[in-house]
Amino acid sequence: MKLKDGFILREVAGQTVVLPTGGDLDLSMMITLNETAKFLWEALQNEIDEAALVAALLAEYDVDDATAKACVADFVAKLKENDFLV
Amino acid sequence: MVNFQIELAGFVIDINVNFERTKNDYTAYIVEKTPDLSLTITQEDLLFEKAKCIREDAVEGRPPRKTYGYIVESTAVQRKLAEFLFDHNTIVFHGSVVAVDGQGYLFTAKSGTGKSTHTGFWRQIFGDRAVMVNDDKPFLRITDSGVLVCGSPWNGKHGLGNNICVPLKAICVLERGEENEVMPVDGKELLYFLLQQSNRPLNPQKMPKYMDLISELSGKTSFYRMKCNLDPDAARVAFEAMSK
Repeated sequence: MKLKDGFILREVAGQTVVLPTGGDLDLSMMITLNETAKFLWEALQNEIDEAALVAALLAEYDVDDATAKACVADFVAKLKENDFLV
Repeated sequence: MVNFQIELAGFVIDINVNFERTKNDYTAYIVEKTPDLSLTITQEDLLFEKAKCIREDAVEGRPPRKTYGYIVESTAVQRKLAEFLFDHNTIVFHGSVVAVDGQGYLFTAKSGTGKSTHTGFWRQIFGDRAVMVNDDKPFLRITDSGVLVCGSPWNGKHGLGNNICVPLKAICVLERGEENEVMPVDGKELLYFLLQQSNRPLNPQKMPKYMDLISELSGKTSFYRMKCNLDPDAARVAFEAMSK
């Protein structure tokens, strides 16, 4: 899986913001990411599977296996729900 | 064609329009200098603007606006100027701006909160030290060395403003309150109000640049939220907190 095209990520006022670049900007379409979500978002710029995301998270952060798995599963589910993935 | 040059946010712009009345909107901004940019309103621009008005009125379910020549041209010039200046790192922001001792203080709020009333208190309290920059839609010119706030011809129903650029000291969101109280704003709250109160480009391809400008603005200015009452002393409280 990977993220669809057409999103931009920027840092504004200490917040990581993602906005769609297509059509009129509706502020309800804006999302903010925390540090881990930003890390996963960047990893999802290229084709990657859930196991590789968990491995990347474990390599970057001091977390246990179960927490990393739950975190990735939760984030990926949210992205799917909002149709962000191809 | 009617031709004239204006100076806006420090740029000299050559303008070609179809109606003499359009030029009259810019009387206070007319200069005779070598232009940096040139802008022409074509028949296509007029048709685009007219179609946009009709479409928006239909979507909003309001009675159709008048869409004859001069009115449509006035909106078209406004849009094109904003687009031109955007390409030169300058955005339109919503608010009332007063300069004290040569530094700009921008107040933004929902319509009807009393931005203009509040900056009126600043003129009352600070007298000759206070100069109105703009009362509705100033320009923010974002440069490497800081942010300038500049007057624009769109200066609200009282026509308060001047064709000047001053360094922007702070931006403040006003709310009505019993007591005057000023607090810093940051994080998500700041992000939302920056996106709500600045003009976004219509062209989706310009969104990354818009976000870059907003990001720069957020790092180069101080931001506050103020609860204010209708006592002129509110101006003194605001100045004390924001001029630090």
